Amino acid sequence: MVEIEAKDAWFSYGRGVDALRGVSLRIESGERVAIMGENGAGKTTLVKLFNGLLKPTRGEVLVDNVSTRNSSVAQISRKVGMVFQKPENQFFAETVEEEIAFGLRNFGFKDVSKRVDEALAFASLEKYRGKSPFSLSGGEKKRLAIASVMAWEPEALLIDEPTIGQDLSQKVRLAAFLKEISSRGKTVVMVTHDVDFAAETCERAVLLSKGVVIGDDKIERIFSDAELMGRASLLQPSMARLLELLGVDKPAPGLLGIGEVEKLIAGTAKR
Amino acid sequence: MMALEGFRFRRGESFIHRSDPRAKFLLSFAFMAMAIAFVKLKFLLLILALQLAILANGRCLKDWIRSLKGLVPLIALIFAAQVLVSWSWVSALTYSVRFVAVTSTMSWFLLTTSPDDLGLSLEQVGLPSDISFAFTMAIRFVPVISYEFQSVYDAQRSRGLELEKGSFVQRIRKYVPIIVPVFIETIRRTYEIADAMEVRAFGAKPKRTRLNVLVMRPSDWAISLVAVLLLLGTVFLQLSNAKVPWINA
Ligand SMILES: Nc1ncnc2c1ncn2[C@@H]1O[C@H](COP(=O)(O)OP(=O)(O)OP(=O)(O)O)[C@@H](O)[C@H]1O
Ligand SMILES: [Mg+2]
Repeated sequence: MVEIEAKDAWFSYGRGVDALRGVSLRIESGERVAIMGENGAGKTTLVKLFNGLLKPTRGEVLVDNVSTRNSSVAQISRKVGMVFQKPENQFFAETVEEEIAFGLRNFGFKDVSKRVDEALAFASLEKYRGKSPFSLSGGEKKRLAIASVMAWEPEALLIDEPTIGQDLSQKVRLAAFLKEISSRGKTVVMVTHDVDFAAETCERAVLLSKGVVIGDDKIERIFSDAELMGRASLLQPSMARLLELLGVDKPAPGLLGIGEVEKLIAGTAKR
Repeated sequence: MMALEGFRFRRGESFIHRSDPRAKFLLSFAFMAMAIAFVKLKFLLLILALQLAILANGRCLKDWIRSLKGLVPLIALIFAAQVLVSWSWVSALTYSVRFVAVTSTMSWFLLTTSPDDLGLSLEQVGLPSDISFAFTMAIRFVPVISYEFQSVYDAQRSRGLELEKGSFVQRIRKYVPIIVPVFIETIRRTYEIADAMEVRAFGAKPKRTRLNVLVMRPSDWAISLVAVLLLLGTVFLQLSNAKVPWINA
């Protein structure tokens, strides 16, 4: 269980670059949240505030009601793990196994090998355990990066742009992977531009634009507001647009999966 | 990494920004020569003050101060070593100030000279374009690599790496997970850039044409003249053993 809360958080990279301008939001334990918005909106900055890599220049970020200013990145990361956009940025070990063990050793876990095995199985990377992380494909690298964080079972997982450069089967796999993490009661916060992926995996969406939250609601409500989406440089998911084109009634909450849409269209066709 | 802040170019429109890189280099070199030649606290402070004036003109004092903060451990080391060797606070202070004065010569030069202009001036001085290009690239990539270092450090900190903890040897070993990815990325990028340059016909013609040509203005000649006089004076004093108050007496 972990609660993450930003209270009027500002962040500036200096020289008048205000990346975040007063963001307030609260992420409850176990939620699946998509943070979306145009390039440069401040999404990466926001998630970096959540695990203490950056400290707010004004306002506060609280993890379990403790200000991130009062804890080290390692302390926070133990609860709030973060996976970066470029997995290559963190790989240094000779083998996949070692790469996963790195965090576990840093946090002083006793059952390192057991946890490494579990993480490998979880990410379906068993057959690569002795290989170099650099020899993996892009999708496998991404999974390894996630596994190397999931190994210590943080209460929340922050993922920056998980679907960039991933093919369809990898995306499907990743979605299942994230749902599995969520079903274990973990919080998942992802930064993404991929509306279809977000619709598939998240229940809540936060829209950022120029460092300000312009929308924060159930994902299906956000995604049915084309004007709001446009302000964050996003197009509604293809399913929502399809339903609109076909003149089917406004999608009810939870009606964004392909399966449900199919049923809905079939139902309309019969009538 | 903070130490590098004062050694990377910041765009600006000040007098010192617009001066010719060759003139600036001469002046920077003259300051360095003087700071190395004359180990006298008063004189070193004077040189430092002059350079602070230049930095102020270029509006980059802030970056210089940030760099200075990053260099504090090194300065402290110099100070401590000097105290141990000479048992003199004045001498310790002098050597510390000298270190700051010498590093500042490079600081204001690099802060106010764009890598492109620097490369251009090297070429116009007669260096082969390959070499000046490599030099420019090296300087231009300092901030890129420093940024890279920061991202890798962030990624590893998020996996529980704490550089501040442990014995000296342990701490050194903790840099491995940071150095390795930075190194690999840098090498990988080198190949990519080489390819990207080749597909845009780099090196196809032995003699390249130029987009900009640097021209020395009267003020640039004046700066160069001052620099040359200072250099000649330094050499003369060094060779003649003459003692001049304020400088070396
Ligand atoms: N290290 C940095 N130094 C200075 N400015 C930065 C730095 N990182 C980001 N910025 C600036 O802060 C703003 C927000 O950046 P951020 O990376 O949070 O955006 P983002 O929403 O993640 O964008 P993208 O979708 O492109 O990843 C941008 O204007 C960016 O230029
Ligand atoms: Mg980003």
